[in-house]
Amino acid sequence: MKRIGSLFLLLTIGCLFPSIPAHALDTDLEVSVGYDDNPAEVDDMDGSGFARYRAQLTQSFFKETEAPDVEFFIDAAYEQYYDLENNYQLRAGASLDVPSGSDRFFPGFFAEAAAYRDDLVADDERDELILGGVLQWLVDARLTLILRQTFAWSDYRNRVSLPGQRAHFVAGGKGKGPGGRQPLPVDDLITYARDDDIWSTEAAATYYFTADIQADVSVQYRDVASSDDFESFQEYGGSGRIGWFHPKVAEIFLSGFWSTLDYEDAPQGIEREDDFYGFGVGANRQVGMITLYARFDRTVNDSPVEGENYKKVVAECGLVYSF
Amino acid sequence: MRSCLFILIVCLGISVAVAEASEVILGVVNAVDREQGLVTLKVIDSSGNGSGQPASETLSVAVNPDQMPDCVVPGNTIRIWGEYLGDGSSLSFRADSIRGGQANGRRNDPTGVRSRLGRGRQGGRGGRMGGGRSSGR
Repeated sequence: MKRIGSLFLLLTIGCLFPSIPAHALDTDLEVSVGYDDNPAEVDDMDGSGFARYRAQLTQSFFKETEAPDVEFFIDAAYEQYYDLENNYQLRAGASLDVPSGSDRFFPGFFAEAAAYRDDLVADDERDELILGGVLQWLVDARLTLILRQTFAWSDYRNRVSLPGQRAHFVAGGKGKGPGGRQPLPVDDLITYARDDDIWSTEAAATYYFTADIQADVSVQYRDVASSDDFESFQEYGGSGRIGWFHPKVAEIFLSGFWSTLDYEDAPQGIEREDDFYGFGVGANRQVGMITLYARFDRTVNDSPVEGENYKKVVAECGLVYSF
Repeated sequence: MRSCLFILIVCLGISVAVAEASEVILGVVNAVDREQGLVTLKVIDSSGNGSGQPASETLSVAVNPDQMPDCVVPGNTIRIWGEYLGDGSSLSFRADSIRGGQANGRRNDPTGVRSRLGRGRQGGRGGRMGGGRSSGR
């Protein structure tokens, strides 16, 4: 939290220091409602309607000068479930776009600190620090290639359970007592302290077929070295998105992703390799300073570990007010 | 899973089939007159049906002043769709659509929409970066 406080202080100082050429402060306020049929991401759990509230402040400096473009942001979100417990998060960070002397190559760096709190699944609560670099290459008038390298350090606040026992740590629904399953006696549960070092490499491409049709594809490799071997894995995956954009109508998009997670270890000596995939469809419409949106996402995790299989569907609609 | 891939592949195929032959220009904004709807552009690359390749590295672009996006500021790299005015040797261009060419360093989001639609729950595999139970997505 000290790191987040420092970044917030930097943002405040920047806003108050008049000699720095600051761009106007951008503010996004978001509210949405929806239904999630598996918020806890376990194999047997009730769904719930939810409302989400979010605010983001972004301050840019040197945007129209020869100096490197610097941007600070702070983002707070609260997700309120009607029948289950809630979660919230605070993120703050900065990015730096460095002039390369080229009109086609754009290197940049970013840093972010985040705190996530979850009253539904205490296992997931963590503080996180993310550092990364990105290189964009405008190949031609239609194609952009992006290479992104990220390091993240996640410090989990609570001891986490063995794979397959997550459901026993899910909090009960509001006014319903224990949710999901009958709780095991505490003595029967094994828990671990957890912190993760995560290296991620992503190569992405954006192609404009027309002014209105844009496709994004990416491949990603991720190496997660956790203090708990059951949470250490290597991930190989890819994703795609195609959007049709019309300024007077809406942007409509289809997206999909797939990845394989090859775990270092699993309970009972199981060779664990999960397939994690999903697809989504949605629409965004800009009306003045308001963006209306609706989306539908379905994700599936296929795992050989009992209790780690789950399916999840989220339908959501909302609006973002930007000024 | 297979159906998701199939749908995406079909959509990409349709996109290729309908890709219009209109000109698209990648360039750096030299100057902007928002009231007049005029942009002076340093051309980096252009593609299209080849009927109107620019004869100069600098191009005068006419834009509807009511549809001038925020990304059109001096120094920014942008993509412009439209057509050349007059014959191929003309140095003026009429813009139908404009997109920012350069994404912010921490996100790949030329339209800016996705960045505004921050996603919710960070736990489980839904985690944004490190995240969650299985350090999800």
